[in-house]
Amino acid sequence: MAGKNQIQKLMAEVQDPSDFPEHSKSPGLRLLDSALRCTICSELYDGPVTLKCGHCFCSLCIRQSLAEKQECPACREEEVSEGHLRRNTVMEEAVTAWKACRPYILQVLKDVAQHDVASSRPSKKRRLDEDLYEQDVACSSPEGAKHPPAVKQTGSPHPDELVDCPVCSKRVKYKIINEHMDEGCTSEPEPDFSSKAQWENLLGSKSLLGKKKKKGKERALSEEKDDPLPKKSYDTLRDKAIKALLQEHDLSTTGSRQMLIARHQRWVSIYNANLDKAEKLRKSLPSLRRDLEQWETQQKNKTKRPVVDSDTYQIKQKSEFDKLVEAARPKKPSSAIQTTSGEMSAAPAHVPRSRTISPSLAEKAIVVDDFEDERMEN
Amino acid sequence: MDARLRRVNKEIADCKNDKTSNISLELIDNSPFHLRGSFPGPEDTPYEGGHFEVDIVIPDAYPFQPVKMKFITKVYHPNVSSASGAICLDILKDAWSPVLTLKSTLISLQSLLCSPEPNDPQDAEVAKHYTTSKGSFDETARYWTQIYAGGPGKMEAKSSGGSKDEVAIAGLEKAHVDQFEALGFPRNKVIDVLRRLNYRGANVAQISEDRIVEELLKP
Ligand SMILES: [Zn+2]
Ligand SMILES: [Zn+2]
Ligand SMILES: [Zn+2]
Repeated sequence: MAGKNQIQKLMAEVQDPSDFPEHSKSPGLRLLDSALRCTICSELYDGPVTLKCGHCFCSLCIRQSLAEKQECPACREEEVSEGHLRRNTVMEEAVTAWKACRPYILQVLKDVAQHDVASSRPSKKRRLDEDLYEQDVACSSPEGAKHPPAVKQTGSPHPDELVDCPVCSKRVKYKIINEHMDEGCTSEPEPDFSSKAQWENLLGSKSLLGKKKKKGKERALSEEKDDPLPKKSYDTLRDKAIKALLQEHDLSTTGSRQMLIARHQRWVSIYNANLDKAEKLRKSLPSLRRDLEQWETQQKNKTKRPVVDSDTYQIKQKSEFDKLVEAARPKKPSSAIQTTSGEMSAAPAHVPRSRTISPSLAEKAIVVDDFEDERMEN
Repeated sequence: MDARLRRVNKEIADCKNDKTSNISLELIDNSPFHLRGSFPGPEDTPYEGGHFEVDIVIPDAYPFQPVKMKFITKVYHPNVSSASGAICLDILKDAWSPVLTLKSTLISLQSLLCSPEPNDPQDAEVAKHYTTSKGSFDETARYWTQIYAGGPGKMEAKSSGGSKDEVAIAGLEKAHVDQFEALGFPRNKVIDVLRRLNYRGANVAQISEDRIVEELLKP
């Protein structure tokens, strides 16, 4: 089940470009937010990598896509493989900066909008906004709290564990997350020098301190920590050999052969995608292992209970879905009730082999939106 | 929590926010992975004025596997099964890409209605009709739009209530059906055979009456 951490992460990620007002009101902000998002997962880039053609995706997203088909999902350039992926460090820096200033800009926009409302026919305008909210589907409580409620759940992280703030995405200690949000995300997470990891970060990986304290497997991994794991051809491996591969990384060796292979494949993807991030943004090995476990649980739930067959599953998903929508709702600045679409409207810029969706059609869909807006404004 | 749900959630929100594309998405039951999409029939086509609904199932591996779509509304089109609503469209199969969205896929369906591909048909009989007598095909497609998709049409057709014109639905000439019915064959069998043989337009001259009777005599 989803723990608090997960739900918070989720809420943090329900942000999209439509959080910003349309182009005519705040030129470029939506486009900027959209440009910093991966077109596969629609989130801000996480470990961005570039293909030969120049298109950019999250490392894990494109690895998953390449496992299905060896082509660029955006332009369909063929014969693309994981070996062609190149880290896009500049994009990563841009995303990091954008994540830091995004909540600030949203707050400023909100303040400006409130000021406008207060100074000109307040009641009328507010009513209009509320009406628009009503129309939104699956929006059960638009007048929810300013911040998404922090749900108490079993399996909560340790009070000192850093979790992603659902509002500003900053890493904040779990025990102060609620105060942090109540203060409008102004409180800076204090640097934590208590853990070994923090010292190592500070002193760099080459530091003696960091090296001395590590031993065994952990050291072997850290010394070659920029080397991606090679892909294996499992056909030639016995179960025992696959288990050994898993053991090497402290991963579970239970389950059928098929599960062992899937687990190892996923591990290689997660591990290598993590290496495509800047060192300071990389996750720890235990945290990667947790990601793998989480993924495996999801896979099991999916295969056990196919969507179309089970009512209980649907209801469970629905409530999670409602939570998401609800969580996403209060964050939208009142001024940002939009007629334009965000990045999800963007069909691929170029999909040559497809007979029905032409690049021009896809582009038109976006451009028309913007013009439409301007016309309505004028 | 799964990336698929997050993405689908955004896609639905995006469709709600977008008032210009005319594409809409709704939940069918309690699952965000089973949706109903709809769009207006494109202008200057026999589908103009109709409202077309599509059943959408989002697979576990979405967006790495294509979304499953089929028409709920009956459509007369070479690339849509006239019986099941199944759709033959490359992006729903091997030409899928994870950057495609529910909205862009529905827009693709809309443009599929503008430009049929009879050489890669889903419904062979409809495709034959399209290639041999375009005029008659358009008329039939328009009639289907009228009776199944709420499209505009003659008053008589609309007011006739339950009794739809089976001959027009099959895209046939009333005179042809009457002619063979007069020989003593049941009307629905005549319609069935003439439709299968594509007894329309220039094809009428190609098919002898004996051939039709022969078909009609088969059990
Ligand atoms: Zn991504
Ligand atoms: Zn490309
Ligand atoms: Zn915060």
